[in-house]
Amino acid sequence: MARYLVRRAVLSVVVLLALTMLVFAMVNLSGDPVRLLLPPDASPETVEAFRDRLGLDDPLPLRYARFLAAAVQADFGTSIQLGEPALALVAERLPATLTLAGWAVLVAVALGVPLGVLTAVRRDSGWDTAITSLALVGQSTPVFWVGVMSILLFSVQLRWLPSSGSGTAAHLVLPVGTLALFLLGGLVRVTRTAMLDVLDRAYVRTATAKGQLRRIVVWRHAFRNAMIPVVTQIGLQMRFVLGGSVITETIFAWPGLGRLMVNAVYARDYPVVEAGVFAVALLLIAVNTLVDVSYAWLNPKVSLA
Amino acid sequence: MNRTWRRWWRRGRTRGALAVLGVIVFAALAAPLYPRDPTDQDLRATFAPPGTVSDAGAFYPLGTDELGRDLAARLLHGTRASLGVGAAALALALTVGTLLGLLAGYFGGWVDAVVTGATETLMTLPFILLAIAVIAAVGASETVLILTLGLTGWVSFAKLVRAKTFELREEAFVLAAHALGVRSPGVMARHLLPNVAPLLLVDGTLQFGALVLAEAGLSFLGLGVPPPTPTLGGVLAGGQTFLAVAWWISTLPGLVLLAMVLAINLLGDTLRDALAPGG
Repeated sequence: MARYLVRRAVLSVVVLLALTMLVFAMVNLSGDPVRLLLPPDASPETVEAFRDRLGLDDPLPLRYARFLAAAVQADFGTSIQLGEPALALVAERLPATLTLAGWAVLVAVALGVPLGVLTAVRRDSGWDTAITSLALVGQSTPVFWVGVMSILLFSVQLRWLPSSGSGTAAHLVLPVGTLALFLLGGLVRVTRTAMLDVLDRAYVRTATAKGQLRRIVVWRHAFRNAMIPVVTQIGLQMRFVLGGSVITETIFAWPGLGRLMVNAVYARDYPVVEAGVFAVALLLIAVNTLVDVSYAWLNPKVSLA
Repeated sequence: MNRTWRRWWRRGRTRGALAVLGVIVFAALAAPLYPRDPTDQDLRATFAPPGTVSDAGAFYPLGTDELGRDLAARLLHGTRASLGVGAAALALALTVGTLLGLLAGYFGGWVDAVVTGATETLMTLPFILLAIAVIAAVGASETVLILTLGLTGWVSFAKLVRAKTFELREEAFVLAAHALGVRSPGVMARHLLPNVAPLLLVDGTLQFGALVLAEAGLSFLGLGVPPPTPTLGGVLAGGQTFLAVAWWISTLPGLVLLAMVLAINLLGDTLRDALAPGG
């Protein structure tokens, strides 16, 4: 376990370094933030002074080294646009995104896993066909269309729920529903495949043969062993959860990290983009490590050497 | 192989998916033949519901938007853009992914370490954040969009090909080819690639659906092919403001996307059942 965690940590540092380098090179080799921040008729002296103050004239490797030295001290610089520390801005928006993503994953798991088990247990029944087909439709539906259609139905037509903003529980319903629906299809299909695989194993047939209750065979013998691929899928989907939340946050004007980053990219607000990318990458690495550790817990045969 | 294909072709799902895709591809190819241009405005017929005949006698089968532009024309051209960008990005991703996967699986060592490192890094970040950073940095255009989708979409192909190559390179037929003096590029092209091809066909079809959705998502955020070229995602986003007065502007492009991606995914499913059972 300790060896695994050390190796994981080293790999994470390499990935984070590569990512920061990539994003740093990309944002810095592109447009000039000074042009966006100063009025178009600013004098060359003003432009020069401003560039000098932001350290934009130094060679790229030097700027990257400076960025990295500050970053390890949790300092990503000041937002060019808002004048506040970039990391503080990111930290301030993070809870909103985590709330949205957390609820969406929870709803998707609470619905998707039982539905997947049902389709596997009642294989080739009407339920199976209906749910599996719906899952495929769900996987093929653009997440932003679901969002806009839910606004059309629940906000414009029925006037039950607010179409944008945040604050109350009612504001959560549509964004969480949209994002959860986006995850649901894949989860149902993975659960179904995993359960079908396990239900065919000798120990499950043995349990049935000795007269064990169907309920106990399904949930105690089969389900526990089918959870491993399902947990993997949830871990892999976290990337899509955060990606999908960028779009969901845009549709519903949800004040999360995704919207902050999209706006920062439009405005070429480098420090905020870099802090945001760093935070998201760190979050995903943490989730993936947690998924790997949970394997060992779900299946004692797996050793994290 | 022949029997496999025949059984595949006999399935209702296969034919249904191919029929829907056929209609959509035909509509996309024939888009320029539609009598109205997608940017033509008719300011006396704004927000016309589907099926409207304007006072001037113009027929709008799917209605018009806030500038009186024909939604049918916009959807036809948008579908064309979606399929074009998706296909080009898929070709690029397939090429890069197959090449890197073959090299990594065949040579192992540091080549493998570099390729695996790159895939791990790309898989750590949500694709959309990478795409947003790239597109904001160099500006949105059709070429940039294809390059971004293609150069981030190769990861799954590389992983697939690498794993399969790794498994095959100690097989007798590969060792025999070596013994007969076939050089490495020859072994990869003539002996390894044909064995990976069925897997690539399955994964490529499913990835195509994902790429079309990704393109639509970026267009929705305003980062796709820039106006005046209509895109399905762009038309959908434009309609969100007018949901209360004109439901059709946002609803219809989503339905087109859904039909297109559903048919692609269904086709991928039938191919997987036929070529890579259990996979």
